[in-house]
Parts: sequence; structure tokens; C-alpha cells
Amino acid sequence: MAEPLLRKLFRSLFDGFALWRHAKSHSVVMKALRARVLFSGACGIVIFFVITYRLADIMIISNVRTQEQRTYASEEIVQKADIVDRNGELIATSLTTASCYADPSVVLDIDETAEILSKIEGMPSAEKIKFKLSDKNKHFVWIARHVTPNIQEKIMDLGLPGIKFQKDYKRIYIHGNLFAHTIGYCDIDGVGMCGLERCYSDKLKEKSVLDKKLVTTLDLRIQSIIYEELKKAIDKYNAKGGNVILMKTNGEILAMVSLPDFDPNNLKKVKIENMFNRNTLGAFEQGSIMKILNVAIALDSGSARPGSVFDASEPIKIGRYKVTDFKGKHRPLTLAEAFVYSSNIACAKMAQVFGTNVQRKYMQHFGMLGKPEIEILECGHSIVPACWTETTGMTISYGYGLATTPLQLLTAVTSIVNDGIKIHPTLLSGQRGKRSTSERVVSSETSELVRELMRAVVCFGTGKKAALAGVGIIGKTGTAYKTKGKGYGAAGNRQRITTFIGGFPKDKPQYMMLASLDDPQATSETFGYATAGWNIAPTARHIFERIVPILSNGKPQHESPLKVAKYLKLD
Amino acid sequence: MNRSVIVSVVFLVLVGLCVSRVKYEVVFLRNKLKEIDRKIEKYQDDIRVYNAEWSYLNDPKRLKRLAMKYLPNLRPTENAQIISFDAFMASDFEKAFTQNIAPVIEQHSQRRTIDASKAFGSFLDEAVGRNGGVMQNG
Repeated sequence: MAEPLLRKLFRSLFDGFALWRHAKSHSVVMKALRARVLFSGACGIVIFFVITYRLADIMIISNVRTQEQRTYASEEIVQKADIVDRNGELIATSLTTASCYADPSVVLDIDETAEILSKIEGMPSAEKIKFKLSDKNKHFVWIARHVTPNIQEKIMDLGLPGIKFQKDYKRIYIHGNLFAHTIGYCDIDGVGMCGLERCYSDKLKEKSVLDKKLVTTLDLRIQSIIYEELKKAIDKYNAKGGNVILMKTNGEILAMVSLPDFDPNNLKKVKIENMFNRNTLGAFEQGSIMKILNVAIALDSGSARPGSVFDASEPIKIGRYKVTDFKGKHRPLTLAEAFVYSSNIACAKMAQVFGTNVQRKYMQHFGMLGKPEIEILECGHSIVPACWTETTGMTISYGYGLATTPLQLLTAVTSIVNDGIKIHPTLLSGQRGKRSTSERVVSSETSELVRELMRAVVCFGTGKKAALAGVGIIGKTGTAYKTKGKGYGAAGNRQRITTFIGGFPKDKPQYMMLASLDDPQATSETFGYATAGWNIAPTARHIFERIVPILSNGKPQHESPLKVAKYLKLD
Repeated sequence: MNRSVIVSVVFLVLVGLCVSRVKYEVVFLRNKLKEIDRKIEKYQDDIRVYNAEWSYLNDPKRLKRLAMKYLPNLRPTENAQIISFDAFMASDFEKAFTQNIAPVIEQHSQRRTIDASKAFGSFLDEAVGRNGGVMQNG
């Protein structure tokens, strides 16, 4: 009969011992010994299995559970790459901080722990901490994020069980409000919530780009100057807000300011309206600035020449409305005069000549009927008339009936003056080459004529206050009433948006700028006027005065003689 | 037979010692690597803080405030101050130099009075010559 396996095992184990061989002959001793050995062996095996199980529990099962918790916490917190301006100046960076968390299942006395922690300055109240620690089944709850090294040291000195620290990253915006709308901000976990931070939230977290930087086209120096001048203008004219975009004619945006704004480092008391980016989200009727597009359509479609005459002696009646001129000349005007003196009547007549189909086609081509093309996601759609009638076409010609964002308008005008080549605005350095096209919006000749006319506006028209000695500034002003319900409010109680769009140098513009003020008020300095020529045009000059020496790199600005002067009868 | 067993045992002991030594060496180096990684991470964190501080110190608003405080007589360059080389040559620059710049140089230097216009003329010759006569106009 085969021996049992266990006995075989013990036999083989003790085979070498003499005692075993000797005892074999004595059956009684043998039996007792065998029983003892079997018992001891069984006990040993049981103890061995208990210890093995416990070790496995501690080393494998519990460890996996802790690892899972740790992974859960660390997955949320990831370092993000820096964002810099075109000259490498830091705009946004992630700094290492410590965040305090608790494992409620390990905390011994919740009340005592909460009381002790709340006494440290900068920590949440005892009630809040108690609430967080109340669920004993949880293994991870945040107590305080981004604590200072002093607070961290104080908490660590307390040695409270279950209270721990984790490495964390806090997004810092070095220049505070300066790039608030463009760069945007992140939530406490580093997730981008608006601006470039939102658009590139995932890309900035990728390990492959962590050591690199997101290089923008923005220029800290220029942005700072524009911010300062716009703020001064808002204070001076008691405006509700304002916005400026400065763009190179290759589409690179150097500065984008929208006021009021917010501090992305401190979002606790930010008003929601301050987060509104006027440049890309706000769709406004742009007023006389639209005459640039109107004139470009008239010239490019062959409907008119700079010397073509339009009768602006009488207002045009459209139903119960009348199209009139602000400070009208009450005489027939050439196209050049209509543009320089900003005649609504002449522009409406121009639109009648080329018709609504042509106007709509060009507007589509200029990119005025969709959304702005840019990397940030906060972009508003144009408000396009449902029915594009002849009347609508006439009102659009001088800036009413079609609401667009300032960025769309600047892009369209820059494309026109950029020798007619369409541009694609961008905030990211190195994107120009990828997105450059040779698509035309108007002919080279039309582009030159529009530039001439815009120069004439600054020399003789409503943009005189934007003129800067030695620089061939081109520009156009526009004053539009803001919509109030279905109309524009009662006369005398209307709110305005004043806009200046311009650039330099005249012959081959390198930079184009759009500046706007929301509801500026008349002052004694403006002799009671609150139109664009009196408030935003001088603001534009102040900006040009400061940025031209920086942008021209010491190169003097040349200017060729004005060719359209012969079409102007100066009063 | 016995000798080969002894040799094998000695060999095994030696190999065991070597493996043990290599293992401890690896553990030591791994700890050292961890320490170096920690240091690199710390230095990188420090560099980020220094970069942020440097950028904060270079904030245009702060620089403007400091410039106004410590350089009250300096103003940003105006566009009217920039002229083309042709315009510069056409202007009476020798007279302007003698009247405006030379006295300042004389005032600040302890050297004997120099013929300012001559000095400026030779400077121009040198500048044009150094550029191989291709000094760009404008």
C-alpha cells in the first residue's frame, strides 16, 4: 500500500537522522514520535499559510488599493508648459506648490483634527474640514490647495494622522490682467477655462511639450502700452469699456486688449461681464468703418471709380426712416469725398449701384458673415440679416444691419489694404506659414486706392486727430449707435460705440489696429462731441506715438504723395 | 572528482559574492539616481521660480515706474527723432553737432578741446569705410 504523501515527505525529511532509523525498530516509540511529528508539521504548515496570507494582504492587496488612490489624486494634477510672448517673455507658468489632503479612514478624531487645522491662518473653517472628513469610507479628500510653505511646515509639525501633502502645480499669470482675455485662465486643477489656456489645455500638459514653450505672437511691450492708453481713454471719456487689436499684416496679432478685464490669478470676485472678450465675442454694428468695405466693393466690382459722383444733397427716405449725413456737405460728392467726409447718403447710393447680391458675395469673401478665425474658442458669430433686401444693403453700406466682431472687421480691412491678399489672424508664432494663402479679396489696384482714401481720411477727414508727424498713418473712424431693444433708444439718450481702424505705413502697411470705446461721453475738451473723431482717434494717435518707434526699429517711415487728392474738394 | 567539486563550490561562492556585490552596487546607484532626479526636479522648480521672478521684475509697468524715478530726464524715442540718412546728410549736421553735442562732450571730458566737426567728419569716413562703402540709405 502506498504510503501517504505527507508521511513520505516527513520520511524523506528525517531520513538522514539516525534517531529515525533507530526508533524504527521500536514500534511504540515510533508511533508516538510519528504522531508528534505529524502534529508539529501540521501546526507549522497552518502558521506558514497564515503568515503567507497576511504578508500577501499587506504587500499586494492593500498596496494595490493605496496605489489606486494615489493614482487617482495625481492624475488630476499635471504640470503645464509655459506660455511666452514673441520675444520669449514669460506670460504664464506653473510653479510647484503643496496641497494638503486627508485620508478620513485614518484620521483618529475628526473634531479635534478639524479644530486644530482651522486655527492655522489660511486654512478652511473647522466646519468645512469636519464636513470633508465626515465620510470615513473615503480615502482621499482635499483640505487646502496650494498652501504656502509656512502653512505646510506648521501642519507637518502637528503630526496629525491621516493629514498629508501632495506636490501640486499652480498656474501663475505673471502680468496679471494684461493678457487676461487672450491667454485666459485655468481652474484649480490646471484645466484651461478660456483663451489659449482652454484651446491648448491638453497640448500644454503633454510630456513631449513640457520642456518646450507655447510661443505666442503677442508682444508684452506693445500690449502694455495699448493697455495703458486704452485705460487712460476709458477714464478720460468715462466710457463703459473698450477694446484694441493690433495685428501685423501677415495675420500675427501683437496685442489684444479688452476692458474691463479680470485678474486670472484671483478669480474669486470677478464679475461675469468682465470676462467678456469684446474683440472676439462681441458682435456689434460697426458704423462708418463699414464704408471701407463698401468703397472696396464699389471699386473692385467696377461699379465706381474714385471720381464717380453720388448725389448727397438730399437725405434718402426708406419707409419711415431717413438716411442722413452727420455734418453733411449737401452737395454731390465724389467717391473719394464720400469716404473722407463719411457720407451715409453717398454710400447707400453706392450700394444701390452694385446691388445686394454683389455686396453679400463680397461680405462672405471678407469673412464678415461667419465667426472669427482664431485659435481661441470664445468667438461670436456675426448677426446677419435674415432677409438681405435692398434697404438692408443700403444700411449695411454705412454700418448698420450687419453686426460683426471687431476681429472679423480688422481681418477684412487688413486683407483689403494688404494688397488685397486675404490674411488669417493667429495668436501662435509659426502659424503664419501654415495658414498663408494667396487668396485675393480685392485687386491690387483696389487695395492701393483704399489705402489712399484711408490716408486722405487721416489728412483731411474725421481721422485728423490720429495723424502722426512723419508716419503715413491710414485710417477710418466710425461711430455707431448701440441697439436697445428693437431700436437704438430715444434721440439724445443713445449709446455709441466709437471705432478707429488704421495702420502704417501707407504704401505698404505693416501693422493694422482697431480701437473701440464703448459709450464714451462728451467732455469740454471734445466741445460736446462724443464721436469717434474726438475720442478714439486721439487715443489711436497716443498709441501710435508710443509703438511706432518700437515697431519701426529705428527705420524712418517714407510716404509717397497722396494720389486721390485730385478727387477731393476740400471745404 | 573532489577537486572539481571544490573548484565548483569556490566558483559558485565567488559568483555569489560578485552577484551580491553587483546587486548592492545597483541598489546604491539606484538610490543615487533617485537623489539626482530629485535634485534635478528641485533645480527645475527653482529655475521656474527664478524665471517667474525675473519676468515679474521686468514687468513694463514696474520698469516705467523705476525709469521715471531714476531716469527723470530721459524720454522714450519719438518718431520725429528718426530720420533717413539722406535727410541727415542734407541737414546742417556739422553746425548742429558743434552747437549741441560738442559742448556736452567737452563738459564731460577732461581732455583738451577737440575740433568737433573734424572729429565727426572722420567718424563718418571711418563708418562708411568700415562698411565697405555700402552704408544703406534710409
